[in-house]
Amino acid sequence: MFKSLIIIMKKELRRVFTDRRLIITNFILPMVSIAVIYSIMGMMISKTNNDIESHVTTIAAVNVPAEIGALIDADPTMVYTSVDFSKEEAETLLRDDVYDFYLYFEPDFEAKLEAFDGTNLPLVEGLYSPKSDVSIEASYKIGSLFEVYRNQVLADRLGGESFLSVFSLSTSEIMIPEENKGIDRGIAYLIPMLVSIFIFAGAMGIGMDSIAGEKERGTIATMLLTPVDRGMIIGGKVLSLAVVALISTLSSFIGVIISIPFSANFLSSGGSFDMSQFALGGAELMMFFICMIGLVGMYVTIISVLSMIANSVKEAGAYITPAYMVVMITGFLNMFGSSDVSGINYYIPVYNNIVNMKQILLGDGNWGMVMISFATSAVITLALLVVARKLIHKERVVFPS
Amino acid sequence: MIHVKGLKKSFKLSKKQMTENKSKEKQKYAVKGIDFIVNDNEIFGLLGPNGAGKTTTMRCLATLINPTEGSISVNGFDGATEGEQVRRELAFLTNELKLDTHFTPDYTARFFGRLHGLDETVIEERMNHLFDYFGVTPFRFTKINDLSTGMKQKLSIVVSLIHDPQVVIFDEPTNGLDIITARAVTEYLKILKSQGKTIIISTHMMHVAEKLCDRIAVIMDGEIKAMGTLDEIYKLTGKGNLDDAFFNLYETSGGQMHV
Ligand SMILES: Nc1ncnc2c1ncn2[C@@H]1O[C@H](COP(=O)(O)OP(=O)(O)OP(=O)(O)O)[C@@H](O)[C@H]1O
Ligand SMILES: [Mg+2]
Repeated sequence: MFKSLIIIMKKELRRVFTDRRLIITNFILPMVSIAVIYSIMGMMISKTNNDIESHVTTIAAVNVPAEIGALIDADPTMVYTSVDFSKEEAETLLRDDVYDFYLYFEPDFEAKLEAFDGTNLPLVEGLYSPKSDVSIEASYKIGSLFEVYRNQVLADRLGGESFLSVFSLSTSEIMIPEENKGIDRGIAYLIPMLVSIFIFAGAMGIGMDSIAGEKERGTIATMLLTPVDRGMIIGGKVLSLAVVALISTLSSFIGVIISIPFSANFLSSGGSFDMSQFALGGAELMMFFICMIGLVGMYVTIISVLSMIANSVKEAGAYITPAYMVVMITGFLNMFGSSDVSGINYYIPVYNNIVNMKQILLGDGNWGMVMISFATSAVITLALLVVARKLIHKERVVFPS
Repeated sequence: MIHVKGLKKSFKLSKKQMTENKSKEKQKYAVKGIDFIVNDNEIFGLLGPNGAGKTTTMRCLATLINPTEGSISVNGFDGATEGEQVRRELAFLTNELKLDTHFTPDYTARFFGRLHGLDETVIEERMNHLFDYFGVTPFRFTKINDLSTGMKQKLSIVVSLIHDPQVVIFDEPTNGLDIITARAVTEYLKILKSQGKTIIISTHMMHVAEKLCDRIAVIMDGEIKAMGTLDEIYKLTGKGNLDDAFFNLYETSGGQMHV
């Protein structure tokens, strides 16, 4: 009985792995495109950062006090030009990127500062363009510059820099035991989403081809003539699809790893992509794999059922695309939503697998939760298998006309 | 041995099909109650115009689709309840069944042999014999995609016969074949008959039917209009060849001839 399942599965895998076109579109292309896209994104982000860093901020300043002028001059990344134009004129110049920042000191700024009596604050105004990255950066720089200036003024008033300190505050990190240490939070949020999307994408193309395509080409009907139970035919196809999905996911991840030298800055929020912390323990790996298998089961069976209903590859694509979108949205939800999952949320299929994977990566994996998500995945997978089995026995499904 | 008793088959029509057929009926009876028996050591021919219900009848026999009414038995196995055994007993060929063009004849024949539960040595023997007879051997490792139409058809025949079944049901087996290849197929059917097999073929070629079939059933609009040996058909219609007999039956059953 199960011998025929294996025969069908082998044939399906042979079909995929001897077809150069399928190998390229399902394994090579995703790997290469992910490597290229991620690298380009990473390079663009670091280029923008570098551009901003190497840019010399130009400031148009009115009535600059000597002390501030000196502070600006001391910073090699900023230059200022003394001007006398109005705020309105400055706005146009900022809009046209002639200057990055406009700084206006009221004419008696210094006098007011000297004579300060607790009221009547001396006025300084700044303008920047929120549309320009360098202008935004300039506003940060001016902010810190004035922080320094304020401390100077205060130190003068109080009679020494030491008076600026009010108390000593010291905060330290607690020690995290080595085994419990997860990886960078950004990566922990990103990877489950990628795994989920890669699995679905990896099974989608070949699933449509091996079921809807075989229906369309009339090759599945030939198999129905053999004594093999029809359920075994669909079972063999589903199993082979699971293998394909796992291999495809792996190849997509190789793509991610290839891109790391360039993409580390956006893959991990911090900028360091420390591979040494990637080493999950045996139990963690096991848990992670179980979560993946749960996703594979559900995705492969849903793709199979939809391909079964469809009468052509094109139609299958139309049915499967919405499911793919749901998968993507579920992944994104997990990235931006809070990870505080409790009670009923743990029984939401797909979502619970993804949350578990995230927790595992953060070093908070929990066997109980993993088992709950695996059980819900298994229930869904089995239910869809029953549906697929029912469908393949239906005349209108197998022989549409 | 094949028994067909009161076989009816209706198809639910989709909205599109209803407008195409210009009918308000939601169902279409493709086969409207037919009975026949085919014996071992016999070639039985199904003749009939396009859409008469020949293929539908044969698909029911092959358990690909389920009869709406009536029963089928193949070598004593019931089509409705013992589909698996029925399929073990028979070969079925029809043009809607295709082979995956990505594989080679060698792999395809092995794959179907395995699905029939045959041992590798048995598969090898059957394959060598059939490939040699039908001239597939030189193309054994050529992708099916690269084979000619005739070679593909011959391979389909080989694959359908890989498990050496007792019952052979071929729907228009010589369709699209040149006369030499067609002759090879009909000769092989004669060999199968001499081995005592039960054979049903459908064809639009009257000369093939005349030469090959022991008995013939003429099906029109889902019903058998005449059945018997060639001589019995000639006697019934008062004609001396199958062509004329066929036209005669068509006209007397209310069919309109447009010349
Ligand atoms: N799946 C289906 N749905 C609806 N109608 C169908 C279906 N299959 C067959 N029919 C109809 O049933 C009738 C009989 O078809 P069938 O294929 O058995 O004819 P046939 O005798 O084999 O004709 P041909 O000589 O053209 O092959 C036709 O009118 C056909 O349109
Ligand atoms: Mg037909």
